[in-house]
Amino acid sequence: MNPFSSFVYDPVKITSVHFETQRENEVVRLVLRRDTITNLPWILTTLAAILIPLLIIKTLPQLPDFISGPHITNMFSPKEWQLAGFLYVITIFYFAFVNFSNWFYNVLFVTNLRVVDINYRAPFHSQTTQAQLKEVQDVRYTQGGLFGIAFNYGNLFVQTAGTKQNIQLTRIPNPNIVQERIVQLLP
Amino acid sequence: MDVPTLNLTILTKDVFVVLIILSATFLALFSWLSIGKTRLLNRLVKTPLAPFILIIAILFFVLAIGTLISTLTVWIIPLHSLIQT
Repeated sequence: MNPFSSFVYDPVKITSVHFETQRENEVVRLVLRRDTITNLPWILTTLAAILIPLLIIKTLPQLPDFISGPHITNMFSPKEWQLAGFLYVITIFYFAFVNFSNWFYNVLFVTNLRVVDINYRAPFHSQTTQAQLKEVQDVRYTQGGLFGIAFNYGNLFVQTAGTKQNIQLTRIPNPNIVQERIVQLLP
Repeated sequence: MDVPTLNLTILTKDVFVVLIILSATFLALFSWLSIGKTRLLNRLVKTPLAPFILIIAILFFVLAIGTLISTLTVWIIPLHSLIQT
């Protein structure tokens, strides 16, 4: 299994991914994440944050003196500029790391016994929700918006019985197929 | 009586320095907390990628601490010696 997959289904058993509270007789059959394409905004932001300062540095000597000139460049010594630049680069990569973690650790597992939703909101908040398969009453999805239709992603809702918290996963790939697979796994 | 004038270049530089030191401190703190969070998440979701993500988190922390120390060396220590003299 590709560890970066956002939709993995095996009607028998997925062996490469496990979770903390998994029981001995429990096998993972479906693994879901947000669609990979939804990572595009932060990837583009990261690239822009890397490229824009490079463009500014390149065009700085060509700007008229009253805008740039020696005022900005001479404000710090080369060593100080180097340090500030290094800090900026680390900050960008940290931003990318946090966004990647936000995507990677937001997972929904469907096993032979239950549905487990690991919900991580970067940088520090995480929440785990679970429901037994026999408690699942309804599985439905919504799909809309320009990008949702173009890239075939949507939101999935797993409704459980009683007062238990419902499970919701946004922007998952192929929501119609996912709904079908979850319904097949229900007892 | 001489009225002290405000040097905008020095003021701008000082503001930049304060922002850079604050950023370095926050980055060091957040990267340290990220190691703990990544370890927790790796326990929650067990994948083959877990060790690599943890290594990246540790690497960030090392780089952030290195940057913070360099920042303090470049800006705070000269300031301290200036005050003493």
